[in-house]
Amino acid sequence: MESQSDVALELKGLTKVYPKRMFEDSHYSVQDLNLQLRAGQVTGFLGHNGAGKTTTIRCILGLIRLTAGEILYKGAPISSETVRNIGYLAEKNSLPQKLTPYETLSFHNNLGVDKLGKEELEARLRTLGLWDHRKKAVRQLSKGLAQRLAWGIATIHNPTFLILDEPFSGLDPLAREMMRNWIQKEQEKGTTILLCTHEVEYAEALCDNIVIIKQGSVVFDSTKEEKASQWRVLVTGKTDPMVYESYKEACDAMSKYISDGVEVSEFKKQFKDLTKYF
Amino acid sequence: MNKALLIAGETFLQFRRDRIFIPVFLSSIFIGVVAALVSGFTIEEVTQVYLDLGLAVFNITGVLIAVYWGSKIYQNKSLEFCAGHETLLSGLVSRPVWLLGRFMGLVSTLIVIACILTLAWLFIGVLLNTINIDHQLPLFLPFIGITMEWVLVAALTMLISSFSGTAVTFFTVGSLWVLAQVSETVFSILTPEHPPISHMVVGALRQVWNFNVFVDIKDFKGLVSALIYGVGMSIGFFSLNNLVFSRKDLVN
Repeated sequence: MESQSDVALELKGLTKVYPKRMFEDSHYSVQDLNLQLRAGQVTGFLGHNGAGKTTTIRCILGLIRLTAGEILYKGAPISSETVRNIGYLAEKNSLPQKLTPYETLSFHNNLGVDKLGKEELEARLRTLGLWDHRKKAVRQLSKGLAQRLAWGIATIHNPTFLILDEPFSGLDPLAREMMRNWIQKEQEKGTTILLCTHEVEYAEALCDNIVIIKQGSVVFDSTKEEKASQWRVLVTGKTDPMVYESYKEACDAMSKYISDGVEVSEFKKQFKDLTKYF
Repeated sequence: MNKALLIAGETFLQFRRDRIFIPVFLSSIFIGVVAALVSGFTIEEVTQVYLDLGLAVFNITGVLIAVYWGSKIYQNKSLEFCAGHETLLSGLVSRPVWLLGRFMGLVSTLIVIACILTLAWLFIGVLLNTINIDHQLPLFLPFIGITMEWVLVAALTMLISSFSGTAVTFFTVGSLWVLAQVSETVFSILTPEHPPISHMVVGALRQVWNFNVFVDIKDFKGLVSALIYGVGMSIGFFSLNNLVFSRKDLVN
């Protein structure tokens, strides 16, 4: 049984029905969705287009009103106060096109409670690799640079919870790696992350847990289906990992390696054949 | 309030970057010169013709800008003025504050445009001796009234565009604007032969929806009553807008 403090966000029976409109029937976008996101972990949120991922995210952020259900943040119903702890990287480039990266970052910084000083802001811009582009209009930035800025906005208030909606979408391999590194750094800091993506490889590499939704309902939740995951142990210098069906088996093997003086370079959970759930 | 001002400043900056001020200034100079020349060829009073032409151009220019920009406030798809509202509204600011900030940004932009147009108009008039600034300044009071009309139109546009697309917004606001322009005239041409219901409806419309109050300003008292009417209506539209926007699902 998980304690309440282990769960950062809980969705209980989340349902969103779009009402009937002219030329459009009413339809369920999300239907009785139940989900728990553990604090300090990265949860992959997967599903095909139109599965209800973005609607779920928008419900969490209060952009869409729920038809039914409940959203709890650290055990209490989510409110405009608590949602301030959430950083959000939107799927579509939704940056003000006529401002410069510096102005955009400064604007979002000034709207928060814990504001960065001018020097800190400039340092943040350098970290994002946007210092040389600080005087360009946002619309002149490439997709990769714009995504860096969007990341900067999402993390400027040091959120304890991050929602990333398709962070790798449209990025070149270098930019993808940079994004991956940033996500890993946040992971190391203990930030709870909901990673919504179509990229199964990235989800496997980055996520502690994976949830797959189909037609608005959860069809796979790795926290509930232990058999769907396995554990991978890679010994330093070797290319093929040892794969174990349970956490206990993997731990036993690790203990043996350690007692034999063998160095292990990787010990992580991986997921089995996720695509069958799509 | 501080957040609303920040959003207003950002909105103003984005409108300014849309490079509207220079074309507005240049076109107002051009139209001013043309109007001054035309007024010189008329048999009516030169100043009155210059003023009437100026007010007509001033009014239409501002209304078009108010409708165009007012309708863009909610358009995230356009990725222009209001891109980023998803990020802002997911925790950083509340919807009423966001809306107030955007509205204040739009209003401040309209006021700057009004100042540019009026000053350019005054400058041309004085330069070409079409008006005498010492004696005829009160004739320019309607410029303030019409600026209030733009604010009202902007509030109305934002309200309509909060629940409809661009085309519907343009058509609806355009129709309502024309209605407000002609309600006084229509009432004045009604005769006793018309049915009483027509008198009642058009009379009520003239009382409630009449933009002539912004143009027919003869003195400061008229200006004050026009401003009270404009501010009251704008607050009404803004409050309705706030009500609609607070209940709206933001789905792009």
